[in-house]
Amino acid sequence: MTRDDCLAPPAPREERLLWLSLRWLARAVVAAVFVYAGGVKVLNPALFVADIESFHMLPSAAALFVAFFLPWLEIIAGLALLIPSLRWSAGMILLALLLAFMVGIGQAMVRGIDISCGCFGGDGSATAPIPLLLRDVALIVGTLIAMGPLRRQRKTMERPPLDVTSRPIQLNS
Amino acid sequence: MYQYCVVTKNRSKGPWRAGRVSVPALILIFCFIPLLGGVINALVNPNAPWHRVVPPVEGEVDLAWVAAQPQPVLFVDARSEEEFSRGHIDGAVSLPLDSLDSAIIDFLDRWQPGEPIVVYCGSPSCGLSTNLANLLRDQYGLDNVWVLRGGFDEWRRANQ
Repeated sequence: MTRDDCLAPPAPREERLLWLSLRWLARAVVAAVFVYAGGVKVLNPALFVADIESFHMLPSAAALFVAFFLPWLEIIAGLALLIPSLRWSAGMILLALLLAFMVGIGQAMVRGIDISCGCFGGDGSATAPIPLLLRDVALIVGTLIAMGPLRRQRKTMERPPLDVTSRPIQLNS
Repeated sequence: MYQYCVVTKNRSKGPWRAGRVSVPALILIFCFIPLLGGVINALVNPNAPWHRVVPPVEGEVDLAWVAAQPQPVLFVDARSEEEFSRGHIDGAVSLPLDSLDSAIIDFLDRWQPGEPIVVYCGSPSCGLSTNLANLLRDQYGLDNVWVLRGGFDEWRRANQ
């Protein structure tokens, strides 16, 4: 008996194909978004520094560090989402990044600060916080789908009760 | 024959494994590589803040241009009222984009015809000032409207 015999009975083929396609689609979209966003920021760090400073959350030195570190982290984590053995780690990092972005946007909204989100390298346009938050929520959902289930659910089989009566009784003669 | 399900145990993870990849490998991938990329980018990218020479943009002026004007200019703050109340350029008029219709009357009371208007917002890439300047030019027919490069951050830096 193999380990696969212990797994839950497989879903119908169409359903499995649908989920598989959905997960790969989510992986491709989320990875593309983060690789693009990171790439644009890598090309123009000066603009991204200004965008981070517009949030009024970090001192200048920290903003400078984030402006050079974060874009590469986005690129690496976005690509790692496509590698099975790194998928969960990458997914957790992307979720943490998205939550951090949401905290930044939320505090700017509460404090009434005019921010430039800098999400895609600072395109110079004023950015309204609500659409930004909705976009982050959509990316969180996409990342969760891309990560897939934590582990396959296992089904343990019951040992059948002993049928004593059907056994022949052998007596030593 | 009895059917038993042998549930195999997970692969031993240990304190230095997270799934199939060891923790040092994860640190290398997600910390060291981005750090290395950032350092190289900081050294070689001509758009790094310390290398960058901002090309002049049409309609943008800097503080030196403002100081060189023979007549005083009227600063217009495009940020929200809350941000304006926390700090603004001396003598500036608040003209938030989201309450333009009500604030424009105060602005027109303060503005003298012929006086240059310099619009600013929070940071170099905030964008509100450009939008407001375009609106003042197109919708209100004002022609002597400029955008302050670097915004309020630049003014604060210059006046520290």
